[in-house]
Amino acid sequence: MKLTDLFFIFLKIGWLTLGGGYVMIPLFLEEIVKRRNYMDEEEFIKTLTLAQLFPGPIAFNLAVSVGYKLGKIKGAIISALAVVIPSFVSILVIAIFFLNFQKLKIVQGFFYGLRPAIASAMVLAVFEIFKKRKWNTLRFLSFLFLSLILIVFKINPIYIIIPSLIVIILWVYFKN
Amino acid sequence: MGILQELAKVFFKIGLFGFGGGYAIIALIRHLVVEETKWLTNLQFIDVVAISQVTPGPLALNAATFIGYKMGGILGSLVATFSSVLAPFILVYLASYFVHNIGKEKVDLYLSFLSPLTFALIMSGTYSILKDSISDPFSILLFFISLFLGYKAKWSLTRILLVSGIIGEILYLFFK
Repeated sequence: MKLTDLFFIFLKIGWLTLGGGYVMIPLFLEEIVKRRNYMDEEEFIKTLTLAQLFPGPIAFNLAVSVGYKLGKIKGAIISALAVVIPSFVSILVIAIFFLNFQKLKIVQGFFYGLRPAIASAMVLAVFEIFKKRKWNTLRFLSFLFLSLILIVFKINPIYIIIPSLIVIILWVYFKN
Repeated sequence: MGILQELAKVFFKIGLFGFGGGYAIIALIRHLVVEETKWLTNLQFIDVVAISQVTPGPLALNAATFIGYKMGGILGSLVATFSSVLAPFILVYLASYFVHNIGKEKVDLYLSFLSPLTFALIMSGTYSILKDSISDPFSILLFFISLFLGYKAKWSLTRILLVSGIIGEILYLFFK
């Protein structure tokens, strides 16, 4: 396998991941495991697990860990670059247009209509989460507590994220 | 501090603390780019979220490229985009190098403990987007139309955005 192949595979995946998130995992599976047999499914799952542990966009993290597996440091850098390029180029073009034309009434009107739709998508996501997840008392109370602090006191989310992570990591580490 | 250094600092933080992915990262980005640095207004921020939903790549990356360009031109967008993936790259790379076998149970436990935090972040992000995007009777109407199309009619977000954008456009041009 050549590094140029890796570059074009991740460039393609980068183009196809609209909106980002977990929807692109099947794409990785298709390209890396099924079509090209670069690694088996078990190895892919291990790589995915590792990618999920860290902050950062999951598509990006997965590209870095798969790239490393297949081509060490060069593989990781090339995959990272390839998966970012489509996002970078398309947003740059949009930013140039948007910032030039945002004062136009026709642009303002369209975005005026988009904003409530984005809000509705997020409200739906919140519903989904409440339905799908298994809650227990501790989990629900910590969720409620963290939400209240974030919403009422408007503190920097970093000050919630750091202590939560410390507690979570220690807990997982010392459990059994 | 020059704008390039400022962009590098803020987007490095977003990369380092961007846990949970998807909507969970909205609260963090919003706090840093709207509340703290005032690089975007409340409404511009929602516009960037909307753009991000229909373009390749995750929100953190899209926001970095967009805001980087707005504040520092092409160079700014390169610096911000690079900074936003620097921490995830280093962390995933080091983990790929050092960790060879990762306990599936511990990872599942970690992810399940992480979920109250990511839900709280989603909740807080949803609250601010909802508050900012709904400002008059028309936007309330658009919110419920989009909610209906997403929940009952199961439309994809891209289609909902298009319809809501067009209705918004008509309302805006005729009544605002």
